[in-house]
Amino acid sequence: MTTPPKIYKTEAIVLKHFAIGEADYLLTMYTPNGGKLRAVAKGARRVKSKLGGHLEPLMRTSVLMTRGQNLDNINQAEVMEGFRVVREDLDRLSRALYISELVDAITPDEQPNYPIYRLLFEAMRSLNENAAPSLMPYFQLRLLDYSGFMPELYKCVECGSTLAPGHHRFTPDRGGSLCDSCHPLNVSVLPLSLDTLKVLRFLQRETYANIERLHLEQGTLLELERLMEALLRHVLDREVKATRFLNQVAQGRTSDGISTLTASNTKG
Amino acid sequence: MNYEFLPSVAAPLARVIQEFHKLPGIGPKSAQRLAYYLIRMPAEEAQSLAEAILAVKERVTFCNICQNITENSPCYLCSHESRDRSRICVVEEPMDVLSLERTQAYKGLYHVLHGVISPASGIGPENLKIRELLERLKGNDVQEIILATNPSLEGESTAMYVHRLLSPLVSHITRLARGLPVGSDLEYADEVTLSRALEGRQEV
Repeated sequence: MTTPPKIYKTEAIVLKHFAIGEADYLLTMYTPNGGKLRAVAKGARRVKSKLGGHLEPLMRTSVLMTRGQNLDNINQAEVMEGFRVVREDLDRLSRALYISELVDAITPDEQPNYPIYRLLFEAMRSLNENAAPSLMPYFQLRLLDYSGFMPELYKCVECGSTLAPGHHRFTPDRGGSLCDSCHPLNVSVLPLSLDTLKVLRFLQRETYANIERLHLEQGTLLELERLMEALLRHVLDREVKATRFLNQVAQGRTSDGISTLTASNTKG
Repeated sequence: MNYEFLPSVAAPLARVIQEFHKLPGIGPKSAQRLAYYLIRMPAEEAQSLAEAILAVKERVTFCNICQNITENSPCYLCSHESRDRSRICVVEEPMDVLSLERTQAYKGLYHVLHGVISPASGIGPENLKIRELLERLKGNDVQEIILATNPSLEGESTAMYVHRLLSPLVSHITRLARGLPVGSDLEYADEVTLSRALEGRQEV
């Protein structure tokens, strides 16, 4: 067996950073061949740091790292894609922050998972370009698929019979659809319309190039959003914290933001 | 953080070690060193340290205008007559006011948000002093808001959020320029900074 090299190079998408020490950052990054990694960027918070601007969250960057006792150190970094459009638009940014929190929440440390890296990269690119409305449900569903939580969409999770066309129900607790004759006890159940079921199946099998052209009705989008949120809550066993900000930004766009802010302020 | 002491350690000493251990960046060994140093300290110095700690908790409050840390509210800057009241510079932390004051290039007022939006840590706009800023704009003739949050992801999100809220209320909202720091090296500059530096280039 060969010992792993002391110095290695990889590309990575930075998920988040956390200030530690006088001027350092502890970074959480997603890499194509190493999965989710944590590493220290020494001095990255100094104005004149050569690392600083290359390791901001949501950047795709190329790094040179040295293995350390506990955490690896970042020696050099060069940004490959800064996703500047995402950074400068509040709606896109709030979605990107949700995406990065979701990847961080669902993936274990140091488990290589190339499909997740590709999905994350694809999502960031899409947000930077056209930011199609189908991106969020696509991202959520595929992330669940690649993490081993692919929902069952063809059979009833209770009796195993193939679903006949029609309106069905979905249970996040059992991770899939229910036929009309099954009524299991003590599981939460959400309505699943035929349209939404078709969209979910489409999202599960098609490439993103086909998905971003998909036109979704407002009602279907809302149903998808509810289903995915319930399923993710079941899998993660907690809320995704960035959802709140996502909704605050979306509300601010449709109504007047000040009243929503003051309303949420008086409640808290 | 509560750890067992040998019975041979005097109880008051053990207590002081535990208290020091709560401070950021102070590990068990530094806590012990500080505690033993206190014992050798002259009584009047120890007294003055204890009083200083109490005073900072009792006498320091937030300015009811700019939310900066102050002894008297309104604070020195908000009550100073020569300051330009038509400009408000929005910053993340009280330390940022010090940095900007050191430049001596700004004569307006400040507003301290006490944090930045960080959705993944559960910090949303409602946890910052944004409502106080909106209140401040009512009835005051403010010509310009300068968004001086850090050029980091969280700072940018906060600036964009505040901008969206304030744009119907203030005619002139500006953001600090982003570009190359003095004494840095083009070789190490990232693409976002460099492209902004190019866009903001000036006639020499």
